[in-house]
Amino acid sequence: MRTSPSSREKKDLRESFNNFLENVFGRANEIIEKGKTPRLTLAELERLALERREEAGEAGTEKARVVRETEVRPVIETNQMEKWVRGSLAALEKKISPSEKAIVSAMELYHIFENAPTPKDLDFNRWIVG
Amino acid sequence: MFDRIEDKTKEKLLKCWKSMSESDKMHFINQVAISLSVWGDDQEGKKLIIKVLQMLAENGSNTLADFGLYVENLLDADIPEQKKPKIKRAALILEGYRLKEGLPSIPHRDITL
Repeated sequence: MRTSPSSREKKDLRESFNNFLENVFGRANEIIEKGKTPRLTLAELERLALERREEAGEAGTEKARVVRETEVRPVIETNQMEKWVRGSLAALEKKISPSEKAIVSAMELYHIFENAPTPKDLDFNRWIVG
Repeated sequence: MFDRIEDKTKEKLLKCWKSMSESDKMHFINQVAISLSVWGDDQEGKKLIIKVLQMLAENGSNTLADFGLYVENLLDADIPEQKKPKIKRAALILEGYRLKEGLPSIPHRDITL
């Protein structure tokens, strides 16, 4: 009866793990070198690891879907944002569709953030009082 | 009167906002709209939104699109008991929204390599 992995198995495992680390950190360095960002977020690392698993056929489709990048939209006019918000919320199931008043309040908060040049201009009191 | 957020926290929030993609801004607004619909869009409901933003900034999230991940934390805050069932429901709905939209299940936080 075998109680521990053979030295050959240990070597294979070590190589496989080292390859995994090389891939993850190799991708991390590529991103840094491209100047996209000097640091990586945990979510980015999670995505890298999941991509690796997906390539190896190890990831469940559901988990992989959770961290998939969402569509990147270009910089837009504020009325375009309201159209997107309304369009995407309308696509939700009816039982969780937000009320008109809630959408208007949320858009007011959007305008506060969008039009605040400095932190002092984030006037949340104005938004709360309505 | 209501605005008890420190300038430092506001600074973090605005810094997040300025670096966010339009897509992330939309997800943030959607999550705020869903939350207000569930727990009410009166002054108390809006104060809860600000409270969530405060927790998000203090935890080091670098995008307001993480909003939904922090809603459940309100249950540990000083919140009236009658509000808690609605907060729980909002947290579940937001979890579903995040799954549907493929948003991450952990906050975006910077780490130094």
